[in-house]
Amino acid sequence: MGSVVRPGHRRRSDFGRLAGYVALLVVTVAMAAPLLWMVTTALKPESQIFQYPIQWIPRTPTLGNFANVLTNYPIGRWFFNSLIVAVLTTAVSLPLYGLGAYPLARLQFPGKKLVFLVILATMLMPAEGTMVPLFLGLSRLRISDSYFSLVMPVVANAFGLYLLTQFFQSIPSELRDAALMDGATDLGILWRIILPLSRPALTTVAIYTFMASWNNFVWPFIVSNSDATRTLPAGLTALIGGVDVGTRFGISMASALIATLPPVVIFVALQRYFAQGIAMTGVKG
Amino acid sequence: MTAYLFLAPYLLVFLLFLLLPALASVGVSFTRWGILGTPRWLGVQNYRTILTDAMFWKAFRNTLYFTLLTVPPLVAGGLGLAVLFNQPLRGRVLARTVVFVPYAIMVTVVGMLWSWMFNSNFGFVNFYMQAVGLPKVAWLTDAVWAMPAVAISTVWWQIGTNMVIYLAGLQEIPAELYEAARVDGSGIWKSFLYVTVPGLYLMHVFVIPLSVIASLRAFGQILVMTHGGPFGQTYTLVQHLYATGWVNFRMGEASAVGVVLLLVTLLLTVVQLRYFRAI
Repeated sequence: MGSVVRPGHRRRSDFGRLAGYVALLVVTVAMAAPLLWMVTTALKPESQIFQYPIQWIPRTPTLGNFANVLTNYPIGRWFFNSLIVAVLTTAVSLPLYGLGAYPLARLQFPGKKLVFLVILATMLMPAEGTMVPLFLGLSRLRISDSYFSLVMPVVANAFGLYLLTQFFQSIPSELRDAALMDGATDLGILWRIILPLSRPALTTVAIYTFMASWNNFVWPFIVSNSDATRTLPAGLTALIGGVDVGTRFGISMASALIATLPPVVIFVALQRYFAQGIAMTGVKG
Repeated sequence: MTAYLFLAPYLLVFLLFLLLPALASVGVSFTRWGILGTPRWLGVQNYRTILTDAMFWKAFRNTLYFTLLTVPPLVAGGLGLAVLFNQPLRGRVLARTVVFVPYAIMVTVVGMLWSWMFNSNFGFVNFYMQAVGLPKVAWLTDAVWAMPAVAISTVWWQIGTNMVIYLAGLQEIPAELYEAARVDGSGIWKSFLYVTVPGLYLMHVFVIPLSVIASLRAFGQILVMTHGGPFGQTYTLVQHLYATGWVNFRMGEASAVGVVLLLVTLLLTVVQLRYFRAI
């Protein structure tokens, strides 16, 4: 460039870097503090939880709160239900999205625009609007309190299908044309060409679906009315609504931590897939 | 035909568990419908009932207030964080992860955690406020502060999503644009205003309407933190829907509340998309 570096310029950039690091530190501390506070509280014996001034490191750390929660409340069962429901939801969703995304991305057919538009529109619709008829229908059939009614509405959500459609569209269509010349069927093309090329996209959709199910709250809160099906988000409201657990913060934070660890571990380990999911929504250019 | 064979399994689930219930909610809203028993046609009676109900309007105003409190910090804050994490600073990857992690936490846990954070006598927030000489606030039981408290917890929970979307967008803005702005004598602020903000157009169209929709649906964190109190100050539309349907067992009226929520969401989304000239 050959531009002359003026003395003032250098000073301003140093100041900018310093301001940047201060901002970075403040943001990180502010965002991390609640999480660390949850962990600290969960590890404190009840007598130390209400001590002022605040202690960040428990003087006598204990797993007592975890033992208490696990023995006195059905949190193990809720955890198991959450796991089953999330795995079932993901296992049912992926084949359906994979099959459905293929024609939306690669085939021309009458009504395609309409189908796509209707599906897109429902993504912007608050799910709460559909809860009443869904609940009435499933209760009439006497299957409202079941894994089935926890799984299916999450499968119906179009977000995963939309992500896959976007990704399939990015695969060169010449691959399909060449395969058709060789006498391949569309099912064969999907199975042997598209899906193997889409492994990262499928992983992204699987993680999104799993997390959406694991953290799903309003619908399970309404349909589950027994511990046989109750998942963690709904179970925890029962727990803190019960015998004063709401103010026994050691127990409350220990159970919160149990519910939070699986998604956070998955999330931190597989973070790049989330970034990719966002790129796939098409907002990125 | 092949196309519909491929789509059939998904479309079946979509119809049964999403589209039909959405359409049926309009039908149910015109009836008197308990959990058991036969429904009875009422016409627009339910709408008359809910629209003359003071609690509905309270919930309506609260929902808009909550949306006003959360969307600006979620959008501007998400954008600011994205710009920060786009600078070549050491430690930014760790910071980015920390900002994004709350997104992975379930809403009930967010409520439980912040109930404890905002505890008036032994909570974390009051401790540090007093440490810097500010007065103690009874956050969740104070009529004025309960809603801001719920809003703060929501911003903490959701801001990472917007940050990640904006960050993806920032990486697409060509460096030459900033170079050109610099040559024209624009400072940092001006190039932010005239290069960064318009350059993220596609992200705004996505982030702003979705943040509004999410805020209009607020329920779980409020249920846990305040139960809609004190004095109904944090009572939102979805809470009203839940209370009408599953506490008072008036499914027809609950459905009418759901339809109103749908219409309000639709209206606000269309207005925004028109503003962005996206439709």
